[in-house]
Amino acid sequence: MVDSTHASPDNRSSGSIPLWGAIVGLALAYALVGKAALLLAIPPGYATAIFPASGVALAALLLWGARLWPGVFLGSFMINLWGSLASSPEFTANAFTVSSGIATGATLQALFGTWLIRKYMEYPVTLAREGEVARFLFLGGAVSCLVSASMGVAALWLNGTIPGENALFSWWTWWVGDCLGILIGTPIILTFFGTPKQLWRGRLWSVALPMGVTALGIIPVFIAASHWESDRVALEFRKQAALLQQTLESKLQLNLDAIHALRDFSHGVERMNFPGFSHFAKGMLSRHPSLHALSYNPLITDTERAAFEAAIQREVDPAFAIRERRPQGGLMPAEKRPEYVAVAYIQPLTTNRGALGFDVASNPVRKAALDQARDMNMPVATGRITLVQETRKQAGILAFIPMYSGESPPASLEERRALLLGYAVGVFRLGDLLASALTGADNNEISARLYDEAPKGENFLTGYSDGEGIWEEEKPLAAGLGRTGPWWVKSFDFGGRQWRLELSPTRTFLDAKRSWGAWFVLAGGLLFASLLGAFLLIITGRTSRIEEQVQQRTAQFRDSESRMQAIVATAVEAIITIDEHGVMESVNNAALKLFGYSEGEMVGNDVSMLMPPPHRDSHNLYVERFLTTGEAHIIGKSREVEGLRKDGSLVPIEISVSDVKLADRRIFTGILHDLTERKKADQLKNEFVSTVSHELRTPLTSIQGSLGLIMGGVGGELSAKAASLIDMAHRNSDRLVRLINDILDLEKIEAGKMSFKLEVQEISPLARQALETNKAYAEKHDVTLVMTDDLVQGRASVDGDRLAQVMANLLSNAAKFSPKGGEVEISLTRENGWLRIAVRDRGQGIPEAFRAKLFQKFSQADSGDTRQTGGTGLGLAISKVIMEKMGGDIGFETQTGVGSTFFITLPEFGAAADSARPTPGKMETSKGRILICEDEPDIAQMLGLMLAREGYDSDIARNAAEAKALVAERSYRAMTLDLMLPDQNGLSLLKELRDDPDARSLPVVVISAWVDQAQDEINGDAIHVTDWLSKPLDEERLKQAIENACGKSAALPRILHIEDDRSLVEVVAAQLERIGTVEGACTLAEARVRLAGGDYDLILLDINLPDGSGSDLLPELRDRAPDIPVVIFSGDDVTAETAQAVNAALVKSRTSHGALLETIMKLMNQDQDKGEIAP
Amino acid sequence: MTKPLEKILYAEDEPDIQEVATLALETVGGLNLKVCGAGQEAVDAVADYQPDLLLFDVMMPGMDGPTALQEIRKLPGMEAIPAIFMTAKVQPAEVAHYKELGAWDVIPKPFDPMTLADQVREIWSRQGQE
Repeated sequence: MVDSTHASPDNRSSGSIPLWGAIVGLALAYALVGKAALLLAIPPGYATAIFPASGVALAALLLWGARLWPGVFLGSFMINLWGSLASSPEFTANAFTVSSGIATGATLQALFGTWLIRKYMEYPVTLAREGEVARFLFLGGAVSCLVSASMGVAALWLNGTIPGENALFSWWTWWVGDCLGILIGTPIILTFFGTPKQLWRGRLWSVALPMGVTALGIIPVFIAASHWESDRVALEFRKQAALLQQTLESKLQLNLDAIHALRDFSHGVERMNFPGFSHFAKGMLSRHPSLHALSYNPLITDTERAAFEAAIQREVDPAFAIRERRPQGGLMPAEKRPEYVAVAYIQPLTTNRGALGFDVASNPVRKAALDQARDMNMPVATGRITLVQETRKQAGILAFIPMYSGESPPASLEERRALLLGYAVGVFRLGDLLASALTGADNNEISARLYDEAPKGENFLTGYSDGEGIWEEEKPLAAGLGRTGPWWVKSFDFGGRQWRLELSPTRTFLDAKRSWGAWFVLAGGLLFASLLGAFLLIITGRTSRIEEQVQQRTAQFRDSESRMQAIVATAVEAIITIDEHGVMESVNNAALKLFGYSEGEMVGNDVSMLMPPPHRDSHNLYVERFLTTGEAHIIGKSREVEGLRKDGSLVPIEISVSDVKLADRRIFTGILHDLTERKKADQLKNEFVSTVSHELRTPLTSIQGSLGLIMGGVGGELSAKAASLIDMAHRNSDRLVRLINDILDLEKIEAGKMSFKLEVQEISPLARQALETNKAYAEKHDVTLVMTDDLVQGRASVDGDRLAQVMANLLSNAAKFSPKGGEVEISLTRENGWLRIAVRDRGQGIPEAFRAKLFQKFSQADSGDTRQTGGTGLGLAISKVIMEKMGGDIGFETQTGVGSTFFITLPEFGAAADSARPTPGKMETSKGRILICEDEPDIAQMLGLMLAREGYDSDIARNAAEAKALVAERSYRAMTLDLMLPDQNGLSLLKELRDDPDARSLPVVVISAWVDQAQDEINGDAIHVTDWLSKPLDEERLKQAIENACGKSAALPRILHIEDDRSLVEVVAAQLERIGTVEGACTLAEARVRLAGGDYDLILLDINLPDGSGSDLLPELRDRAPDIPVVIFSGDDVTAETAQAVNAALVKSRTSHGALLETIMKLMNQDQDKGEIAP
Repeated sequence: MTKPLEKILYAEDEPDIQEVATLALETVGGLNLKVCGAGQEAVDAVADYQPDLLLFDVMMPGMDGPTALQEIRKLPGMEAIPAIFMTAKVQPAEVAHYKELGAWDVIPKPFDPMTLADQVREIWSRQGQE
């Protein structure tokens, strides 16, 4: 026994409902939904565009387990049995079989769909992703629906309900209906019952409702389309029916016409005879095929009977007699009556011989018609009769037309009765007639019924349809057809009777005329609804997924955010973030503690509040530079700076800044390490080293001195062994002294106590000197120092003694590590603005492992080497620091077994000084050259750019030594001076400059963070400072100061140089740089424009110009401004007349630059601008 | 100055160095030397000894070399007496400071005993010519 507690684990929902209850519920739901859907089926047949019961079945099996399959079977079985009982009330085994077949198909389909979905899709079904929805559409819909359509159609076909040629089409509509039913029905049911609940219930409004509304909204459209469809079919039918009616009536009329013709024929001949009749009737019958026969029935009185019979026996048939039909059957000679209307002649005779002699008046039906015809003088038809000559049971009628004697038709009843001669009779076989009317190219597939509406009750005359042919008995309309559908009924008169034609379409007609428009409307609309559903499923699935992700991420983010905040807040190092403008966005606890502010006092303020003035300036410059150029120089580097506390005290800090790119902006994170402790420790260490070194020297002085005296022979002669031992002691004490000296050197450099006497000087003599100095030492190692021939000439700002120290270190190392008899080569080269001194040895090279720490303190390739080489292990470390202090660097290249090259580099003086020069090419020359004396490269470059924008060239001096060298070399209009230079105090440099006759009058603008202090310092000193600018720099203020220093640009004389050789203009402009601003004009035209645009203090004029002679301009010039001096500076001599008209006339080839300058200065009536500007 | 250097007043608190320097200057260098163990001693001795030159250590207990020099310069006739410091403290700032005090030069320790007298004579003759 199956126990419901053994339910599959997924069968959760039916836990409270017994299994049979669930099955019955499913069966009922299936049947109801299915029945409702069949209301939408388009007659005839089984084509419903949607069969949502399939969706119910699939959803139920998916939700509550495959065990519910009997519910599907029962539901489907009920619908189908119900359907077949509705069409034929008696219950048949056939209906049972077919219903079972269809139900099996539906059940298998639901099971198959469930299996496919469970196997190939995520379970529980969420339909949340495109892929899932697509798989559902394909597997649950398209694929599984093949099952029911195939089995159902097969069952109906085998049963004969569906003809073979319709099977494929039925299969297709069935499949479409099931598909749409699943695609729409299953998701809607899942929204009510599906899991996860949160997802599916959320779709009630967003998926189920729009889907359901769309699907239901299609139905009225479908109904309208169906109506329109059947109206169209009905209209088509009526058109055809009207035509048929007309055809039938005209055929009847034509037949009557033939009978009329027979009457007229008999009237026209003198005496009717058989051959004449036969001839006439054959012709008529051949032209009227639906007319079965024509006969001539004269009125015979009883007295004429014998003679008549005898005459006809002779003429037509020897067996002729007037006969009548007896109730016993068969025709017998007629009984004696006063009158007979017997068939005398009939054509065609052979088929109608049986009717020959028949007294039509003997039959009451016929008699009534005969009398009516006689009395009315009109054709009269009989009611339905069985023809005496008929072998089949086909219904027939006779139509009688009376024949009267006399010329004109008798007018009165009496006359008609009196003058009646007989009747022309036509025999109509109605079946054939109807068939002939209906049979035609367009008339097929309509079934027709013809009735005789006799007053005593109507008679069915005949019926016909293409499929069934002529039928005699009335047949019911086929199932599903009836007077509710297209229908044609029309009564008409014929032969004194009222007939009625009823026409109805056959199923074939409807099938042929039907279009699938309505079905396509429904199927298309439902497909749209299902696709809409699919779309909504995807959207809602995605939304729900995103919501879930957002929740997850938010939680994660919240978690990581709070974790990050906790980490940042509790970090030991101070962490400050700033935005691109330097405004602090966040500070952590350590930062608050470091600077002594509260959070509110820091966040939102400019970070420069934490910096003392010099750092503040460079910070502002960094920010400004970053904002204009996007360059962030300090990113990623650690720097030691001083921080400004709230209480005004300074704190040494190490700051490293990193750059964080956010979506729409950048922030900078600064991690600040308090260096106070380290500084203290460093200071203690340095003091300790200093003290210890000093204390060590004292005993060493005694030792060294004693040993020296002994070796010098003061203590008397020594034995060889003693001398060797003393020598050893002396050497080592010597080494100890050097060690101490090196340690002290290093300590001094590191503590910033070693001063450098920087001086711009030629480097090659220093290199040569180093060779000479170290020659002796090298020789002791049996090594020769050589110098390459191609020493470059170049200057750098160096401290000669320190450079010598470095060279000594490199050379002694090279000597020590060279093989005996080897050579050490010294070279001096230039590389990209750097001077490079290289010392190359042919030693063993530097071991790989050692290379990285070569410049570290106390490093030697092998500690064992120390004794052998006698080094202290500090030389390279000291050299490196010295080189760095001089703005250079030290490095090496080495190859094991081949040798090493150590090199030092120094920035060549003058090479980089022009870096701030604006791009040449402008016609207007620079306003002049400014010397920037500033050690901070960023600030120097900034100043250069600012000046370039104002039209000044500039050179940069990085220290006082460079400044002095540059001033001695070039002439400057002004100089900016930073007071804190690496090698000399700015003010002392200024004093030196003021003592130098060449630079005495150079205008100097001091740029410093310590303006007030510096002003105090020089108070009373007779050194002239043109202007003081405090940092941070204000560009406008700088411009003003420089212009003032240059003697105000407005006051600078303007010289117009009219000359087509641009390079000459530039040369002259450079010459006159300190005297005035030179503007060039290449042509007379340009010159006129310029002259019109401004006042010039002097005109320098060429004669041969592209557009004319310069002398042509003279009258204009004299008119315009007679006082402006004009100097002709031309390739050829000018005419005397021209020469008189100008202040001076110079010939290019004969005039030195100096002479030109002198002339111009004289003319402008002023001395050198220096004199004017000097204090 | 044509006068050859003869008498040196030497002040040094470290006896070993005293001995080495004495050997270097007297025995090797052939100079006359009065050795004092402390600054005050030198100040006291200068008037009697009338040296040509003072050669002082800097760091000495009690009165250091520079103080002793200043004291001596206050004595009549001693205002411009030549002086040389011989010291282990030879950082540039210190050297500059000593020179400001009127020292002719500074000889760093440790010194070379075989050439010490030559160094002193060299300073004597160099400075004396100015």
